[in-house]
Order: sequence, then C-alpha cells, then structure tokens
Amino acid sequence: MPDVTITPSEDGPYIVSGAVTLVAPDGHVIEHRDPMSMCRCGQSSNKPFCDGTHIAIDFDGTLAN
Amino acid sequence: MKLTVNGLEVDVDDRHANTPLLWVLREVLDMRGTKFGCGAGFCAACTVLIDGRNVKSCQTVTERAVGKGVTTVEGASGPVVNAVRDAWHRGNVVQCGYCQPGQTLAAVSLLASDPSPDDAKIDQWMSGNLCRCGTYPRIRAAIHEAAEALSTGIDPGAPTAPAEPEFQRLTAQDAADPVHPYIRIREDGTIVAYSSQIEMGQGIHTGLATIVAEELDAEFERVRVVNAANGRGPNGDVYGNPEFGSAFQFTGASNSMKGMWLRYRLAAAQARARLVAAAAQAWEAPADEIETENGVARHAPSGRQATFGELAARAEQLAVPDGVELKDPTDYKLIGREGRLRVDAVPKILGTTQYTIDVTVPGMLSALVLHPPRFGASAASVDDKAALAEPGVSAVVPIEEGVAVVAETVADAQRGLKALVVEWDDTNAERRSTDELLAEHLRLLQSGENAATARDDGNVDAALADAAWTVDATYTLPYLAHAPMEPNNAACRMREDGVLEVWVGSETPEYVKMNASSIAGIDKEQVEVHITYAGGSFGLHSTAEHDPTSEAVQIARALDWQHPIKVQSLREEEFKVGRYRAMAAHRVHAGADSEGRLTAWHQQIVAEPTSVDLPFFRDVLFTNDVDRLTTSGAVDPPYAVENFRLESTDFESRIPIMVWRSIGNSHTEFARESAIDELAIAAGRDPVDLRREVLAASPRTVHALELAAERADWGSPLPEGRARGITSSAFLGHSAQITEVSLDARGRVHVDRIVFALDCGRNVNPDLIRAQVEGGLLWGLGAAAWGEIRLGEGGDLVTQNFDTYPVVRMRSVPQIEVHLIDSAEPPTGVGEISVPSVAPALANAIAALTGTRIRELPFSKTIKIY
Repeated sequence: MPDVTITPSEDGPYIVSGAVTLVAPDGHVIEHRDPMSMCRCGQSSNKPFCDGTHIAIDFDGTLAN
Repeated sequence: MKLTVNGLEVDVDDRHANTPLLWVLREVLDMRGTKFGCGAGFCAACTVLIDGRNVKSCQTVTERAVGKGVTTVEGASGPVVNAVRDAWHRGNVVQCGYCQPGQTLAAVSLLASDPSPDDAKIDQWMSGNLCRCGTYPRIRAAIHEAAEALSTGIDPGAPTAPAEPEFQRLTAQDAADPVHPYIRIREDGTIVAYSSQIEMGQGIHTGLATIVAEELDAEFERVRVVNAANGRGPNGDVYGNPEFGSAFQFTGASNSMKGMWLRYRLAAAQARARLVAAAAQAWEAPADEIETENGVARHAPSGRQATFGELAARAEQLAVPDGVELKDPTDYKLIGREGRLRVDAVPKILGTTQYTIDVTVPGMLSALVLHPPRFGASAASVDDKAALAEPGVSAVVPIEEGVAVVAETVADAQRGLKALVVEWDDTNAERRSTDELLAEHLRLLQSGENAATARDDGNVDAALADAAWTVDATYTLPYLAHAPMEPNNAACRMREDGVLEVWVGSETPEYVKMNASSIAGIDKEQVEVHITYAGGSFGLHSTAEHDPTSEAVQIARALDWQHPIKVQSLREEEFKVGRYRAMAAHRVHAGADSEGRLTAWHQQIVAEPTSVDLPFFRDVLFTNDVDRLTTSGAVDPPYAVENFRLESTDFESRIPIMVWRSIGNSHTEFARESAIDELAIAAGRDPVDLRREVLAASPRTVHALELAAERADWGSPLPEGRARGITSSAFLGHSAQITEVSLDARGRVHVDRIVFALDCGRNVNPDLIRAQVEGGLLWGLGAAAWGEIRLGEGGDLVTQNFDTYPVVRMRSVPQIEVHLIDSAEPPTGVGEISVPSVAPALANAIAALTGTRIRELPFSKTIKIY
C-alpha cells in the first residue's frame, strides 16, 4: 500500500504527502513538492495547486461527515 | 529545440528542455520584459501568451512550448494590445510597474476571449496576477476602457517610449552649479530632471516632472526623469535630503515631495531665469520684456522667439540671475490640476524599464544565496560537490548571510542551490515560534519590566482612578513582510580603475556606498551607485547591511573581482532574510469623565525597535531606550489628552526588522483608533463626536473627519447586516476613513466600501494621490485581514511564499472612494498615508456589526474576511 496521506485542511487545501505521481489530462507529469497543497476551493489561479485564495473568498470547507 | 517566440523561430539548446520558459526567455533569449515574482505560479508576474492564452512561464518547462506560439511583452501587438496599453497609460494604472507586462498580457487574453467582460469576469480572470502596489481598481477600469475603445474600432496605435536618458556622474563643475545636478535642457528641447528620489512606484518622478515643468514654463510631456546618485562634491551631497541636513540621500518616510518641493521648483525657476537671460543677451532686449510659455521664450516688441532647446547651450554658460522668485500659486497651470499621466508609464507597460533583475553587463554571472531556515543560524558545513557538478555552476561561495551558488544563468544556479547540502549551526538561532514570541511580548507588556517612558503628561493614574468610563484593552499585531513584486536584487562590478559599481534599487544610496566599500576595503567614494527602478520596495530597500548588495560584493570579492555579479533573490529566500514589520503588543488604558470626555490615556508598547539597523537615523530616533519609529502615532497622537503616558519596551529577538510602509503607525494606530472607539462605545458617545472634541486643536484633521462622515453618510441607518467603522489620523497629513462591512449568513465579513478623506497639503497631481491612497488601502487591507509571518516549532520559518502569505488579489477589492481636500499648505507624501487606518476602521466596523471586538491581527485568526 502506498504511503500517501491526504488531509483536507480547515477551510483550506488538501495537503498531500507521500510518493504521488501527478498527471495532467494531456498525460504530462506535473512536478510537485512533497508535501503539496492542492486546491480545494476551486478558485486557485494555480491549479491543481493552492495559491492561498481560499482565505480570501467565501469558501466553506466543512467536511460532510 | 526550436521555439516560436513573437513569430520568430529560435534555436534553444536542449539542455534547457526542462528549464522554466521564464528563464529561457530572460537569460537565453535576452528578453527581460517577462518578470520573475515567486517561481511557484502564485503571482503571474511571468505571464506570457501561449497560443493566445495567458500562462505562467515560471511553471511551463520550455519543451512544452515547442510547436506553439509564444508571445511576450516585447512581441505583443495588434488592436487589442494597443487598446489595453493605451487604457493602462491614460488610466494612470502603473505604479512600480513590475507586474504590468503580465497584467496587460492577461488582459489581452481576456479581451480576446470576451470583448465585453463584466466586473465579475474581470475579477475572476485577473485574480491570478498579483500587484503589491494595489493597482487593481485601475486595472479593472482600464479593461472596461479598452473594451469600450475596441468596440468603437478606433485603434490608438502602439505607444512608444523615448530612449531613457543616461545619468552621467557629475563633474565637480556641474556639482557646484545650482541647477545642473537637477535639471539639464537639451538642444532638442528635452528637459532631463535628475531625481535624487528613487522611483519605486510612488510616482515621485511624475511629481518632480510636474513641479519642474510648472516653474520652467515647459511642456510637461518634454520632461524626462532619471534616478540620480553619487552627488558628493565640494559642497556636500547635492542629492542629500534637505530635511535631513542635506548630508544623506534617501527616499522614504513619505518625504520626497515634501523634502524636494522647494529644491526642484527653485532649480527650475533658476533654469528659466537663465533661459530668459540667454534670450535677452541674444536679442539685446531687456529681460523683463521676455515671456516664457510651453517651452518657448518670446520677446513681443521685436516679435522674436526661440525654444528652450535653442537657448539651452547659451543659457548654461550664464550665471543664475539674482533674486529668482518662485511662481505665484495662482498662476499654476499644472500643479493641482488633473490630467497628468505618469512619466514612467509607457516603458513599464512595454516591459523596457530596467529593474535590478534586468541589469546585465558583459561577463556577468548570476548568484543565488541559500539562507538559513532559522533566523541567526549560520552554515556549519557545506557539501558543494553535487552543486558544482550541475552544468553552468561555476562556484559555491560561503558568505556571511548563507551560501551562494554562482552560475551562468539563474536556472543553473537554481539547480545548484537544490543540490547544495548545508548543515546549519543553531548556536545563535532564534528558536522560538511566533506563538512563543507573541506570548513573550504579552509577558513583557504585563510585567512592565524594562519599560521606558516616552512621554508623561499630567497625572494619568489619578485621572484613570477618577474616570467614569474606562477601557483597558490589549492589541497584538504579527510580523509582516513587504513582499514587493520584484524580490530584492543587487549587482556589482569592480572596474579596472578601482571603482566598484553597484546597481541596486535602493532607497538609501549612502548606505549602499558604506556597505559595499567596507566589504571591498575601499574608500566610500570609490563606490559608484546606479539607482535602478525598483519593482516595489515599501521600505524594504532601506537596508545598510546583510542585503543583496553585501552579498553581491562578498561574492565578487571571493572570486577576485573577476566577474560582475548579480545576486537575485528567490521569493523563499527573501522571506528567509526577514526584515519584517515588527510584531507588536499594545495595552491601552483610557478613561472618560461622566460626560464622556476623554481625560486619561495610558499606553504601553512592546516591540522590537525598527531604527537600530538604520545608521544616522538611529542616532536621533532611538534615544533613552525609546525608538521613535516604533512609537510614532502613539507618542504624537492627534488627540489632546491632559493626562497622558506612553511607555515602550524594546523586544529582543534574532528576527531582523525593517521600516515597512507607514512604519510605527502601522501598529500604533490600530491600538489607538480601536481603543478610542471602544471608549466611545463604553461612554455612549458617537465615535465621530468624541474624536471631533479631542481634535479641537487640529482643525485640518476635523475637516477630514467631517468630510469622510458626510460622504459616507455617517449616522444614517444601514440595511440589516451592514455596519460602518471610522478612524481619524494626522499621520503625514490629515485623514479619516470609514469602512463599510456586511455579514453573511455564516457569520463571515465582507468589506464592501472604503471612504477616505485626505488633506495632504497642496495636491500636486490629484490622480496620482488617489492612486497612492487606493494602493495603500489595499496594502493595509491584505495585511489586516490575512497577513502574518509564522515561525513554527523550533523557529522554522513557515511563511515563504504567496500561498502562505496571502495578499489582496483583484477579487477582494472593495469599492474605494477618495475625497481630496484642496489646500495651499506645502504638500506632504502620500505613499503611506492611508495604510495605518485600514485595520482599526475594519475592527471598528466589525465591532459595530457583530458586537465582537477583535484586538488581534490578522483578523483571519478570529473571523473570516472576504
């Protein structure tokens, strides 16, 4: 089992840590840091990564359960 | 690889296949209009168009651009580009200009896909492009303007910028002339003004061009302004600031227009008198019969006339006539009038302005510096084998500030930096987290140990004991970074004649000379400073040591002066060197009598002093353990209070502090304006009435307060879920701010509107004043809402780029209204004037809206602001 952890931070991005390959729709591999912050609010201008925008918009990241 | 850039096919070595396109454009293809801002896709300063779509070239590896069409700021053309650039120019959008090539290309891409975008579409599209100057409201307006112009089908054509005049080092003879160090008139009629004040976005070049053209009776459009330095001659430094004994050239403290208001008008009036004398001599006519207008001298009786350019050579040989007088302000045609466009706008829009990052001289190598992850740590051991094995890397140099990697290009140095293995010695490191540092500030505030008394009037203790109403509140503020769009850079070259040249966008050229000469072991006057345009500074570039200048000189020295060296800061590295706005804790204990009149004010401050790293300034500003740059705004409030005491405690840490847009007022006014609002509420007073009463001795501040209140309809009812907060200030000028906020269903606060009234003395260029006020408000808003530098456990720096240091983006810009009061008083600076009141106006509005008083910044620690 790969050792990957995904943490939805409070009203913020998914923090992804561990060996993950990130692949774009056209097939190219996107370089990333470890851990990386992935956009959860949908408003990042740097998708798939977080650019900090979640803090400045009306984003509710409360988990469903 | 073959790339198509601006319609031309270019060959690029395959070793750059995985290099970000940004660096290939800048350093391989020598197209430097595309800028580096963050290196991580957060800021979009590096925007280019690929197949017409705006993309971030720092996130695009070069091989992915193969087979596509890359358009940079240098090659963009056509009707949409022309319309955007024209709107940018006419709208006075540009300030420091560093982000504007990216902004304009993003706007071009937007308008190509949607010819008439609404505000929401613009906000959504443009929110990727950061601007620290806060030009967003004008960008939004300019996009609408461009869309409108395009719909008419009239192409304004491509803007063109005349060549940038060179600044030559003054000869002793020129330095002794009253006019030549400041103004030269060329044969073609160009008037060159040499600015002792660096242009870093605040608009001082345009301000000086305005007052020079006014007094000279010249055409504003013929004035070109360049950054000047190295003014030391037989009579001292001709570029020394007259308000600071003329010994020291510096830009800062919002002093440029105030400090140069007389000097540049007088130099222009003297230049005009010389032109008149030259015409009188040439035409054998009495000087008092010669009139000047729009760059032409005329002698009506004989019908003769000549342009200033035609008279200049003769005029320069003449002595300045005695008794030159300045213009009567009632005759002003430019000062105080609308319509001036920034003199630095077009080169900035076209991407041709030279920032430090763009400096190149033959043989120059690029250097990046790895700084320790904790403040005060130093390199214990360096393993440079892997770094030196990277192609293009030529040296690894340990320096005082960290470890430098020197290479052919920044991209090479960046790979070297990643391969570097450094162990850090934490013996002298700051190991406390920001939570622990804040707790220590609060402990000192509580204990009062080491507190120095800055001011003590009347009997505060007795007055507080007698007070009918009191407030006793503690306010805290975090460390803040400047994070200008251009990270701080410097370049140097030792010339064969033993002169060390330094290129840097410094606010303090004298510090650069002291710093570089002491490292190089040469005389201070053997250093020649070239002041570049700064891609923002906001105080950051006021350093005297341990900055990119000292890094560049150390590296060049270690390499035996064989290579010119340019040190470029990566965004993360700039955060790691600190020089933050100090963390601060304030306690205000204030009292009012039974009628609600303010009778007592006791304020205590704990903060790391700001002036300690500023030679000369600290000698006068840091006395008796009180730092005036920390207490400003608290020690000299606009309010008259009979019983008043201020105490200040100097905090100690390893975190470097630097002046930050509005300096001490950035924290003292949060405490002051929050506390007075709290007292007004406690005593059942209207916050405007209470302020008006204690401002009785400051009628100009009262005027600003009443104007803001009138324009924002203070006192009129607002719909449910909305509220206002007010502040007043005598910082630099006289101002008042009203912020309107609303609450959504989930208890989150939206900032709807900011009304700002300002008396800054004579309004030299009203539109540029408004632009600075807007930018200052947005600067203050981002800082208040979300801004904080965080050190984690063990002192590791957590905040290293814009993802963890959110600043205002286009979508967060509220409605802003700036109301200027016309005045015949001398002008003050406006670059910082609107910053301090943003946080307290917002706190006061939130308290009015929710009943919750937030005393801890940023607000995001307590409530969501969007």
